[in-house]
Amino acid sequence: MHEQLPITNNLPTVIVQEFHKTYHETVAVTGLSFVILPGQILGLLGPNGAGKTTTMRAICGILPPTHGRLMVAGHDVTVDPVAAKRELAYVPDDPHLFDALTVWEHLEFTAAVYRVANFEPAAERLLEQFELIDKRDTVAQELSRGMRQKVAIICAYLHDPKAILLDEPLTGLDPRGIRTMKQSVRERAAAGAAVMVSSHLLALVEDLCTHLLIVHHGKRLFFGPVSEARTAFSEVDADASLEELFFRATEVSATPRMLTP
Amino acid sequence: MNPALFTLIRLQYRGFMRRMTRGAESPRRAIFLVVGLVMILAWVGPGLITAVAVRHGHPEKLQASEHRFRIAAPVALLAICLLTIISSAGDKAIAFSPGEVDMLFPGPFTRRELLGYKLTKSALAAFLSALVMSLALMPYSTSWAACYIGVFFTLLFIQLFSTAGVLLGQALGQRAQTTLRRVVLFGAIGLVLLIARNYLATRGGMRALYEFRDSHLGRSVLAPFEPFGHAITAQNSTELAQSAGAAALIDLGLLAVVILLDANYVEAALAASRRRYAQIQRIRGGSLLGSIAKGNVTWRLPQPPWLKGAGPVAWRQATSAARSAKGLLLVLLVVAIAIGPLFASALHTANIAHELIAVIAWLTVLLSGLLKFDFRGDLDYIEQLKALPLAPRGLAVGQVVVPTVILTVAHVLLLGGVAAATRPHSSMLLVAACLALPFNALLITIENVIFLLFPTRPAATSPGDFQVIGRQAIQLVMKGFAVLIGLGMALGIAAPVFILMGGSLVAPTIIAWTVLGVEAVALIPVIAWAFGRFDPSIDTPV
Repeated sequence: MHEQLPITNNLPTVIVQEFHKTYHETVAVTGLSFVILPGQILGLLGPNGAGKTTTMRAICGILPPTHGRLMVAGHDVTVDPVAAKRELAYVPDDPHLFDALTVWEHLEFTAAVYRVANFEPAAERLLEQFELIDKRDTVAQELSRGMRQKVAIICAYLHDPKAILLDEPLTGLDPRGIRTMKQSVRERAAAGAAVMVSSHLLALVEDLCTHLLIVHHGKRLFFGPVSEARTAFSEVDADASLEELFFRATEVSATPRMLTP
Repeated sequence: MNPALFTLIRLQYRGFMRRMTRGAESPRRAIFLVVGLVMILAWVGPGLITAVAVRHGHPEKLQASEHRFRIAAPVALLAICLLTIISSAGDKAIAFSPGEVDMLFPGPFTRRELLGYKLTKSALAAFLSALVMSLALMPYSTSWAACYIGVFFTLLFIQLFSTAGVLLGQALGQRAQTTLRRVVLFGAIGLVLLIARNYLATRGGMRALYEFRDSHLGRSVLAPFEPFGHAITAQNSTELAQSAGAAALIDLGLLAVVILLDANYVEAALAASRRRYAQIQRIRGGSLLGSIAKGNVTWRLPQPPWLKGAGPVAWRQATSAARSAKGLLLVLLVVAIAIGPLFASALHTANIAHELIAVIAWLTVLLSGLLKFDFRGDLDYIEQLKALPLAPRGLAVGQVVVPTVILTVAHVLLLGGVAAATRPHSSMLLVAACLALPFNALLITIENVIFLLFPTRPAATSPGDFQVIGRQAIQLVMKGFAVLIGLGMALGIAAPVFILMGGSLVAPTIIAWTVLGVEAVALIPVIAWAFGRFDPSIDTPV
């Protein structure tokens, strides 16, 4: 029987301890540790192949870790995956929808799976917020790329998850959709959700995130508040942009200091 | 044509040959390749051996085969042409791959050069395909050379007809094209009913075709297609020259039509390419039938109870099935209901119930791949499914329910209908109808276990990919073997009871039902385990 930790504002919603993931001879992630507290928005940065998506998928229970501990809302993802998944939502990069289902039916299905009673008012609000109210009876196959992204996001929000994982959430969205998306992330975090956003758009991360996790070759280079990122690397000026910081951090010669919140 | 396009064709064929032998150094892929080659030989070989034996031993049989082929070939060609007009099958003739669209369409090529490129590729494909197909058709032909030339011109004809059809549709506009399709569809239905009426009246397939062909309508409709069958079955060089010449002229005529209609070739090709690519993506994702109702949908199925997560999952699959496979489900329903009366006369005179049940069971095993409303159709959704807070067993049950129910309803209607039409021989048919549910549950659970352990994408293209053919053949054998073992166990336990009960079918049926059901239920945890170990980042085939 697993030990469920009580959730308070002081306890992390997401805990990753010594997470390792190996595929045959390839080490995708090694010794990764970090936490996300309620209300924090963690930006996950790293070059292609750094292990970002692998990390997100492991937290969601999609991939089993080679070893390490992953906890979501007090539930161990490998020991009690169903309970952990009930508390989180994951929007992958380029999400697939069920082509034959309408927008509303995606919400209906999500509500059924996450046991959300009386989901209709919340669903209507989300459709209004993301400007999809006119598309509620349209099959997913007929939606544009950006609309499909919005449907995936709405489905993620419907059950008010404690942890939200977003992989490149702005891809395909128009400017209004981008603004709505950023606003919704801030609102969810303000309401107590722990949010993780993986993106190559450094301006988005700089604008939206409260904390940063930079990974490279499967290892953690930096973890801490955005404000402390610039002082973490001796080669980076105090007023350097996040882009400059990122390039410096991921160069081989960087000497990172590991900070914890 | 721009020389660069010839270079591209040459490089593409080099890549095609490379793909055929790719990875053969790995033992598993080498086995798939060998099995694939064996399958091709198994398709072509018996025909060749038969052709040689008949030539030397029974020349009169060869003549009879050739005669039958000459009757049937024009009708088959007509059917292909009608299908091309009615459906979007013609898209394949004019569609370019996404790489070709992105690299060639913005490139310094005229539309005639793009058309020439496409037709050149088609001609080369026909040249190669005719090599294999002519060997398979040797039982119907006196000379391989004649067979090859006839098949080559036939393949070109199909290609050019499809291209002309799509361009004509583009020229007419959407509304006129839809009207034309409806007219052709009703005409085709009328033709089928006419032939069916002849079939029922004469109680013989070939005689019905002879009568249709000899009618005034038949002669008029089939005239343009006659030369192709004649070329394949030409008895001497004079006949070959005449019929091949006529076939070539028809092909040239179609080519002229294509060139006349090519004003909107680029737009037509782009639209067809987009449709074809979307269809291929859906097929590669496991959805064999890619057509879903467009626009807004006004109906939905009611949500079933939770049932440990199986309810919503089954609801999702049922909704997808109802929306994307309406046509297939309707055909299944019509065939299931209509087959009873068709078999009634045969079953009254001879008890072929056992043979009929065996054929239905085997066809079900072969064709269960059409109903991929389970994990097999969810290859690109595995990641989403794994992120859902559902117990794996509940998810597994929800996934296998829908195809099981569809198959069972079809079987019950089919077997029940035949049983009702042939009362003296109905008992075995009723037993088979009772066993349909556990049998189908066992089949579908086996299918899903094999899929999750050895995931593959349906091969929508790559006709020369012997590894894919080999892999599919091995999976079919695995599936058939597993089903036979399951059936064998059930019958092995039920048979002694049948003997002990003095021939009563009730107790053995209950026992067989129970055994099959237990076997199917026992596979649910296996599916759940296989799903749990499926890693989307390494197990999802490209």
